[in-house]
Amino acid sequence: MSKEIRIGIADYKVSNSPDKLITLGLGSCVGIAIYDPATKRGGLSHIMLPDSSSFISDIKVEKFADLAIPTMIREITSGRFNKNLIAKIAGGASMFSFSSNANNIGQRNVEAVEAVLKEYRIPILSRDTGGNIGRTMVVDLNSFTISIKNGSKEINIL
Amino acid sequence: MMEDTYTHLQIDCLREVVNIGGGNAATSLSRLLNKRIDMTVPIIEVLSYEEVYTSIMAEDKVVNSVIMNMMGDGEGIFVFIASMDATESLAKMMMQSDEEVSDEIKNSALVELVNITVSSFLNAISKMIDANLITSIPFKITDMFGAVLSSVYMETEYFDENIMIIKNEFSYNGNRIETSLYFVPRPGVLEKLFKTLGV
Repeated sequence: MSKEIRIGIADYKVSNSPDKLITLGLGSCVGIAIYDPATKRGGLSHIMLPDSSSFISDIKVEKFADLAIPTMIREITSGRFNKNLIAKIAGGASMFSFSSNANNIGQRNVEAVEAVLKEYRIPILSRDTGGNIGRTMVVDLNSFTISIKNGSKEINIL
Repeated sequence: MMEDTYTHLQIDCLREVVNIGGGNAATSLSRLLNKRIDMTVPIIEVLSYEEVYTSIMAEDKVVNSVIMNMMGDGEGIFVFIASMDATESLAKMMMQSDEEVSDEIKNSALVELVNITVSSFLNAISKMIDANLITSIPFKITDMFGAVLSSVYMETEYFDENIMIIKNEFSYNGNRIETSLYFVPRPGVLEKLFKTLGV
């Protein structure tokens, strides 16, 4: 039986085929799907912020790209080295025209995600990032196909 | 959590300020629409995003949002959220006609309505606390509620998973219009307000 697993803001979940992982309403947040095609096991993370280093107290691991991604990878691979892993990412929009470039959290989130994935040598196979639209990700863990939606309308397939 | 940051007296004062702003906004709306628009008691609470999406509105619901920046003695963002249906009925009330209106007219009617609502909200508050508060021109985006709301809070430097919701809701003829006016102050603005009010 296939389950649909919801991931809230500042959270991640890991599961196996044929489940679907879903996260709704990504604005400047970024959704990171990481997958092992051999075991068909994968995770989806919904991060809010690029890095945790300027925060001192109450650090929620799942909220930050630099902490959430490594933790999720360990959960997907059970801590073993795995060179099969691949990634697809979406989100990181700049929703408002008044946002100054220096404070573009969406873009900074995307850059931080890219850096962490590069560090772990996980290739980004496809992406739908930036722009000024919100996105919902529906990740099929059987095929690692990702449907990108705005509301109920599909706008892209990764 | 809110009790840790602010006293009950401060929250009551904030509620009163929002009440006065929102009341003034409702009066302007009534005049504009030529119909009696009422305002419900302002909602001021700290909620997690998940609580907001389960108790206020689903994060993937596509809504019209009109956003205005507040500047001057205090900074923040006003966000007026209207469902698609509410946008249509507000536009019809404004046009005083039951005929179909084009999307363009609906959109500009909504933007103008928010302009007036927020301006009268701020007018009332500015007078009360003797502050100089102005707004940027409004702009509208149509997108998912969750994408808009989380991005507004991040934009105003609220990086917590729990957010302070300050909002007004309006009703017409006792029926809730599916609209809300959110106010998201930048950090430090509420403290400044409480200082001005002496609480």
